[in-house]
Amino acid sequence: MDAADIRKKNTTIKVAYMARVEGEASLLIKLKGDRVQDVKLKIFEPPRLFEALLHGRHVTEAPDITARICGICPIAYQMTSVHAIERALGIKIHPMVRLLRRLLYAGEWIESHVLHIYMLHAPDFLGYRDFVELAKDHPQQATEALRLKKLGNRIMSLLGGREIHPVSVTVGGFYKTPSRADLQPLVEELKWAIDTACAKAEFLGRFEFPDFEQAYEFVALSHPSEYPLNEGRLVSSRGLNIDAGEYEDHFVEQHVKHSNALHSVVRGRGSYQVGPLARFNLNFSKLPDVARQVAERCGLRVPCLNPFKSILARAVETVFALEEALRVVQIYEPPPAPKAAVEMREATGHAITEAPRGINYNRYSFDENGSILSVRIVPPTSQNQKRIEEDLREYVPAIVSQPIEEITRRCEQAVRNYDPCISCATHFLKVKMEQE
Amino acid sequence: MKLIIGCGNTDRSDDGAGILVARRLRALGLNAVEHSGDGLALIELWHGFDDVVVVDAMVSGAEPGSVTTWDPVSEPICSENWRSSSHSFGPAEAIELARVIGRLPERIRIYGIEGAKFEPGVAPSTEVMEAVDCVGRKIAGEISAG
Repeated sequence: MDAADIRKKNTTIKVAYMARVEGEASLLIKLKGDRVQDVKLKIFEPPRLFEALLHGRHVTEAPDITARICGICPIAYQMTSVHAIERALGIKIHPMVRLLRRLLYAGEWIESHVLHIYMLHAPDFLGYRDFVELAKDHPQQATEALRLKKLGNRIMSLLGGREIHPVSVTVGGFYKTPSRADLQPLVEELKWAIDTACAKAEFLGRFEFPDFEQAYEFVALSHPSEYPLNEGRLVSSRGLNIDAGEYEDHFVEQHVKHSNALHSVVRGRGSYQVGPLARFNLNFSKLPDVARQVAERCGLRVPCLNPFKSILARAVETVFALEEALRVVQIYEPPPAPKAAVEMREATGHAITEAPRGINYNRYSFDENGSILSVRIVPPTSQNQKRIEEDLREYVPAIVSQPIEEITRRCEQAVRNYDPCISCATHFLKVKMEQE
Repeated sequence: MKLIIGCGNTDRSDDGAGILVARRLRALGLNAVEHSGDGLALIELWHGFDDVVVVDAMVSGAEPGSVTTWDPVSEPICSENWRSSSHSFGPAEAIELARVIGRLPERIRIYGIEGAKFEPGVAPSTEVMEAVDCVGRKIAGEISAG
């Protein structure tokens, strides 16, 4: 079918399967002539019911159970659950435990960001079918990316006991903390990684980016002195400034018929964007110098309203995460005890942390014995899902004159701007087009 | 140096075939490791080894428990036969990626054991368990023969 046919007829573009075991979704775009009638990102992965299966479990089990939500970002779920529970119980963690948690989270950002930038998203910009094709023409970029990702995994493995679904995090701290000597072997590799990640960001900056901007409401954590990972107030580009405990007063999850993932909206306003671009726009001044310089060199400036440039924000955040990891490794001293004492009581606690893909909100209520009464987990992808559909609705008219294969390819690229984690996959789409 | 890698997930029925082979070979004192099957990590895992055997469950439509072998050094392998792990990088993609960046071991053999069921919490099928024994004996024999 050529572009002329598309303009004349009603056309349905179906990206029928995101056929990966960690996430099942499809994309449907209906056109009438060259006007977009409907866009649906259909998430048909079965509900996983984590909130329900936590009921009645002991609250100290939550970090290990929720880590199983995702194989790519388990730390996000461990961190958010322990912070919510610690806030509920008034537990103060040791400053060195706090630093170790930042190091662990930085490891997850590194492995997750590098995976998405180079293996999943970069092929879209360079016109390759996949990372293997990219690697044929750019073997050095590919080899360096693998080494960077390995470093992130190594940090997670070192602190978490293993790189997928780590087992070391507990309420009050860690089951076991490393010695200073345990972390020192990371220093030289981190120094190499910072230099390499800076150079690679400039490679990404030379990509061609579609001319597409939207008036987003960006939402991210904000900390007085740090680029946000584990804590901060929740702020937005439209003036929101709240504590995690107020999250449900301002955001609501809505069930939509076509998706097993809930759509989150800002009450009274609608969709919003979380993730690297939101964090970058709202926290640029908190980035270390080296990351700000990289942003400048690869052409990423505040405010950036082009979602395709999220790949650059990820690259800048990779540099930040590496810098932060090096800083922690250099100043770390083992705490006197790996974890603070936990005194159980009936309580409710809330927390928000920054997963690689954006904010993750948790609320835990439990009784005096620590038995969980209710849980609310709002992951980043459900918060971005409505925004992804709105991006496509606005983007398709600009490319509707293209051949159908090109429209589909570009829509997939636009979905990947958000690195959606439909328990972690939105890739390798099989496309089918029907004509009404 | 030789390395045997058993891929899969024993919580998902026949998907654990590769892991079960690795456990049998490790019990015999051979250098066999268990692995989730994530392709990018596989490339790192076999780095430095010149003789590698990978065992994994596969889905090709063949009879359950049937065994297929490949020599990826001389021919590409079909990624459609494997249930990929996260983000589409399974053993097949790992091999092709390793080939283009020069990380393919000098000698590498793939054993694919055809699975029939992959439901969580279900025991492996009889045919697959028989194939696990068969592949384990074959690999042990090959290694002892040098």
